[in-house]
Amino acid sequence: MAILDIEGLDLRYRTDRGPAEALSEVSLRVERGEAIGIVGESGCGKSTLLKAVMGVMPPNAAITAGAIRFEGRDLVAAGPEAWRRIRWKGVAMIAQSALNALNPVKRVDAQIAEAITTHESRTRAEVEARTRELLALVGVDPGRARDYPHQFSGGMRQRVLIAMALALRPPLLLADEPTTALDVIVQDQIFRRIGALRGELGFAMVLVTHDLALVIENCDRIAVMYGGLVVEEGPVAAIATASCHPYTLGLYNALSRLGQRRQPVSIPGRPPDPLAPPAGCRFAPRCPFAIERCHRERPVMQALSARHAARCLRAAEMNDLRPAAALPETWEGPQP
Amino acid sequence: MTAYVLRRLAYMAITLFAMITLMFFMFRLLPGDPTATVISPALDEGAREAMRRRFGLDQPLLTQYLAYLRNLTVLDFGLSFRTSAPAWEMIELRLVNTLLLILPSMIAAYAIGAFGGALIAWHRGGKAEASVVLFATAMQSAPLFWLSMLAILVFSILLGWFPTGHIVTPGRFPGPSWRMYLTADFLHHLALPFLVNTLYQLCFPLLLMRSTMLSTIGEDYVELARMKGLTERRVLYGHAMRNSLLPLATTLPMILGWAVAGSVVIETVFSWPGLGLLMIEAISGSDYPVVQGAFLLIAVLTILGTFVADLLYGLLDPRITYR
Amino acid sequence: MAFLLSFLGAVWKAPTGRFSLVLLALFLVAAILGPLVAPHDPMLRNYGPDHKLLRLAGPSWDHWLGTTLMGRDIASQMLHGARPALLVGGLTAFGTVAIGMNIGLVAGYFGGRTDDVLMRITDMFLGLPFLPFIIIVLSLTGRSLTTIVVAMTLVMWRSTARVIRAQVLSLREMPFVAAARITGASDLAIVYREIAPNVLPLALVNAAFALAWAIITEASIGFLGFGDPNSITWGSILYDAYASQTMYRAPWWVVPPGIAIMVLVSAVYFVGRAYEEVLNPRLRGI
Repeated sequence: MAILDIEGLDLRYRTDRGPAEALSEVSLRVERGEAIGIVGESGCGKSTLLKAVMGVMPPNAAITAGAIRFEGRDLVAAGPEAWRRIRWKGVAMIAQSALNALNPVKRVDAQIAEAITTHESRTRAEVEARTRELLALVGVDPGRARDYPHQFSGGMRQRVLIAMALALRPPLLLADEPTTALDVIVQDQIFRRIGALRGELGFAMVLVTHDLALVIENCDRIAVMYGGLVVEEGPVAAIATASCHPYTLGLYNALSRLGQRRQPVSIPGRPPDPLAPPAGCRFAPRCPFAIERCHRERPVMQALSARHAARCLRAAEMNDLRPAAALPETWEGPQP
Repeated sequence: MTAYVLRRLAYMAITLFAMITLMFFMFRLLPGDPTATVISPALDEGAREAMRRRFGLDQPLLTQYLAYLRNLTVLDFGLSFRTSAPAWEMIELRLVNTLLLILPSMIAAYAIGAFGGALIAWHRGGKAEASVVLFATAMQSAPLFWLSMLAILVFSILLGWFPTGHIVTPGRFPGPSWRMYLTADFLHHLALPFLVNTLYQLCFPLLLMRSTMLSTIGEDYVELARMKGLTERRVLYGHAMRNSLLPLATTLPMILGWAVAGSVVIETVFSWPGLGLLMIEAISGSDYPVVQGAFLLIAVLTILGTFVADLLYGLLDPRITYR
Repeated sequence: MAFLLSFLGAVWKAPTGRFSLVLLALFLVAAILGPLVAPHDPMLRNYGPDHKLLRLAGPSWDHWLGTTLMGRDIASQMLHGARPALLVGGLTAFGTVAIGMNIGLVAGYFGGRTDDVLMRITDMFLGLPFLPFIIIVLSLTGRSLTTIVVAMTLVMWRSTARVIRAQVLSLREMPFVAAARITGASDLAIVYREIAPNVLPLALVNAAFALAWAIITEASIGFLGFGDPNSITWGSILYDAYASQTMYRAPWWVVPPGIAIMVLVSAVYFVGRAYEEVLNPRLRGI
């Protein structure tokens, strides 16, 4: 049984200007011990998806369809109290910004301890020992357990958040841009630490980031999101060499790769307005390969192999289009 | 920490000294010279001189100032122009009355305001929130003395539940006595001004708490607390409300000032024999030693409150460094 | 002027803001035209058809809000009271923000010793008990609208100064300030051309709250008997009612002035808050 199975999830925000579709028909399976990366531009719905899994959507958001199954049990149907019990015990999260995610007026050990005591009845000594053990595990001096968040550096705070996420040894860990605020060297250290811990503890991971390179390095599978939809999904190797969605190819071009002299090429245009998404393919207005059909017909997920699928009407032709997609000129052309 | 407290104490001393000095010169130099009102020009020259000598007004200004400072250190505000009794004796008792009315009601107002504001923000977006906000704003916008008058009109005159004023039934205690505070009669007299003042003063902390909470609820650490699976109660009290108390604490000194201002009007309406009423009475009677003493005491209370609020804030927020 | 328009536009967007602006406009009209359209002379003692003084007469067609113990028309007094309320409130709010903003700007921008000295002075003013101080100043200098405005401004600028200073402290570190400095702008130019426009919204919110507080305080001063003896204010109407000791027999004498103050001040608060919500959308609770 998959540890997490999201099926046909629709999520809407109520806004002043009407309903905004933040997620539509999102389906994603995470197997035990597997690492999956979700990539996309900001606003594509990737963070919203993680919050939906954690069950902490803002009050103006509502799940209108679909299921989020954790170890086979649908959390949406199970109700808030059952969902609360799964949080952190079953699915924990490494939050995005370590500075704001830690409560500035509470000591670090207290913040880790409350995660433990909420779910397990332990003596104070046990909790304290566990907290110190966790800090040591992520490479933070346990002697600093009684410090306040502002007394730590950015990298150290991120480690504290990881320690907190591992407090109950959850089988699934979500990570939302865990290193965006950090410099490259610290980022590397953190990911090595996460990798080592995964080897040791065997938890599954969903890594959300806008950085495709991080996913390629750290994950087994990739899901690419655009405008609230999953547009391509497959094993890292398949997507890296034979992506079948122009948006994924565009993200690739945006990477600056070591040893290559060419400039990274960005995708022109802006992500779709969630209040008024395009009628056909949501990427069509920015897509250099869009044909007339793309503007009126909504593509569905097409299986390209056993584990690789893409939401593009021209997915089958992609082998021929791919060389053109690698050329910067293709993306510079006038957009309709 | 010790250094911080010491520095704050030093600031407090400076502020206090400045206040005392300001007061001295204000009373001596502003157009309405006390000698003009107290020492009537109708008196003959000899009597006027005697009066001047008696109140030390014939000395040079600096000598008067030094004498004034020296007297303050032993709480000697001089003799009341009106009763010729030491001013401090009159003030002392009034201070207790004011504190008994204002302190409990401010504590109640802050506690209720903080919890109420936190709760309406937590359950935001409903009709209940909108009506509480509207009601609190209207209450806050009404003058306290007018609310007191309406309260007396409705609850004392029409319904007859409470006395219309005074601290105990007049005539029951001929002289000032501590036993007075232990009677049900006293509590009966305290009830209405206490309720009106509490209801009025809780509007500000309530509205402030609500708006702070609305910002805090959106913070990442509140979301993380919820992700950790904490119960909603623990997220509310342990994180959102705990952190929202900080801005509320910074307003304490300001509120204290309002409470004192409030005490002046509420004591007037309810004929409550406190410092505020004493000051108003003394001003109309041009009894300057008493005015000075009452005002100084009110100022000391305000400054002390500011000091306590500063320390409290330091305790609540670990990010404040005690440099 | 453009800024004022954008302020009004922002407030107009929220329903409560729009409603409050309309109310404020009505009060403004009353302040300007009130004395002209008042049906009676507010100090005139009115006599009934039987040539007896109309003491504490209830509301009628002739006297919409009844009469006082001295037979004076309450509706006319109310109309006369709008002008001093708005005038004193407005001038005090203006003075408060003008002083508070300048002190906050200078203290926050220059920092160091300047900041220390200015903040110590602010602290000292913070120690002044609000209403008692005003009353003492008034009792010593004499009672007039001018002295009331001056006395209130003296004790009200302090909180604005603190708020503005805190904002300037963070603005000072912004890139646009550094940019201005590189182009050789003088300190004064940076403070007033670069930083001041950015604290203006905050100052405006503060002005609204100062206006609200000044109107209430002016009424309290009037009620305590320290108002300008030459003008009729809502506070002085209530003072007369209270001093006559007959107010409990005549609710029409006591209720209208309080309602007027409450509605006016509420409207000011709601305008301030609507603007605050534009500046900080989180306050809308989304």
